[in-house]
Amino acid sequence: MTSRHAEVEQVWPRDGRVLVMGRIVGAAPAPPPGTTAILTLTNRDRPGLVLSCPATVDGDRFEAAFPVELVVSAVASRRIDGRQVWDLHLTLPGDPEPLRLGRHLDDISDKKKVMTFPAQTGEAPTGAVSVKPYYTVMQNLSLISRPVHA
Amino acid sequence: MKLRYLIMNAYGVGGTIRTVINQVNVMAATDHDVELISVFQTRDRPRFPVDPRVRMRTLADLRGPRWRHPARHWLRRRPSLLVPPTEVRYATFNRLSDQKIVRFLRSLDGGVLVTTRPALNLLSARYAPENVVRVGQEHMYLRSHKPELVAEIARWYPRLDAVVSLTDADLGEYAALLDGARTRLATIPNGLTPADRPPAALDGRIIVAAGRLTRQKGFDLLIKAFAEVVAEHPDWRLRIYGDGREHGSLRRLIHRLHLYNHAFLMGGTTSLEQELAKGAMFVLSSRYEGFGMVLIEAMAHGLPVVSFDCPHGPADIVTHGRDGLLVPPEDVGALTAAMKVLIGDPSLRHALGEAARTSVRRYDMDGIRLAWERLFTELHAGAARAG
Repeated sequence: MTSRHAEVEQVWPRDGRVLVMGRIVGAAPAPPPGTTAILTLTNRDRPGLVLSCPATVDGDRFEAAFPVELVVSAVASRRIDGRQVWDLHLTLPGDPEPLRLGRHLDDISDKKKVMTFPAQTGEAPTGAVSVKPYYTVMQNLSLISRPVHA
Repeated sequence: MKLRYLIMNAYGVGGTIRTVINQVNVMAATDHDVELISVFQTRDRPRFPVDPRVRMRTLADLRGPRWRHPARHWLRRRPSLLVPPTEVRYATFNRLSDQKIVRFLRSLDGGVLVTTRPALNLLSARYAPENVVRVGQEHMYLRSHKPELVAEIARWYPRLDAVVSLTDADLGEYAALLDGARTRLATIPNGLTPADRPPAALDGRIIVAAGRLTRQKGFDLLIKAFAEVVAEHPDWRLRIYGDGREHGSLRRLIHRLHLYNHAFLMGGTTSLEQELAKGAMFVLSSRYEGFGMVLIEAMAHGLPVVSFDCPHGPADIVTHGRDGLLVPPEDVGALTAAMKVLIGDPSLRHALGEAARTSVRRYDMDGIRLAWERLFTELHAGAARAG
């Protein structure tokens, strides 16, 4: 756990989107209300491959949603095969250091097993791809994408 | 007093095993001569702590390689001739255990013999000598047994000195079945062992449930009921403690109902007391129970409980409206409504929780031990007069 991070409170993988809600913990000055920040998904094997979507920040609250299509098309267009892990960060305007998304401020230590989420599937010309949020053993929030073999 | 407890396997894990070991421990701690006889032994040590004053004996040791014990192995593979095939654990017994149990029972001379499941109760009735005070324990309930087994019970239990049930409702069933027999019938519930039980967080927003993840425990019903609760009270959470073969299907149910931010399968825990104390209420959603010990454990923390009024136990433990809420069994709508009542009324949670903490003192192990001692003493005196 870092001193500054984006504490996840709810994750909603439904209706073809993934919605993440939470609050910023330990950040210096709060950005002005209605600030637009950026949620990034960094491919763990290819650190140069970063997907992003806008996030809203209000006080210490943040909220961001992206369609699973964002991940599916990135995988399909680059013809990336196999299981891919994507790490989630929140970048605040004027702040060079992205905040890792995670859930550290509760009493549940084994989130990888206890807080699980359903996968959603997106169609691509190369075949269907499933996208599933999960908590890592470090209690951080990541995604797994993998091809769905019929 | 010389007390012998015969159990199928003291080396396994389960409600009956835990309860029987609790009993032998408290009896040994109060200067009785206690022996725990395990039909089978599958490990070097029991999984639950046994008081060092309890002497342990095994009838059929299943440890060690098969080739070294060819006769034993041959007998192990022959199905039991003495245990009724409708006994739930019929397949565990075999020709080896038949031989060992009968030899053990015939060797007894005086004292009290407590047997702990239908197969052993029946064998005690058939083979233990008359000068042994024979007490059969029921850890589920009579109606849970198949008709063929009930017929065996009707035939042989009249030869026992006593049959002890966990609830009055079940005892009534035994009284009807064994009508006219001289067998003494008694209700003695499971005792609450002393433990550190911190007061529950009644002003929090966590609902706690616990038990093996099996169909019996009805967690599917609880999750469906909780989905309706969350629709109205999105800041409440459900934590279910336990492992079991329904884990996958319950997880899929949580995902399908979009409860992944609200309902959690917490896995097994070795510190249930600490986890119960985090709850603002406890829910028992079982389709049936032998007793429902976990309700008592929850109430000892001052937790208000909502429970299905299933057979058997909850109605004995909970007085509706005084120290908890009882709802019709398997009625998901009623379970939802009861949880909402407790969520909407913090003062009711406190009132029920406080009453619960007081009312479960009647299950304190000391009182339960006295009930057993009284029964054994009376049976002993009766046996002496008759002899």
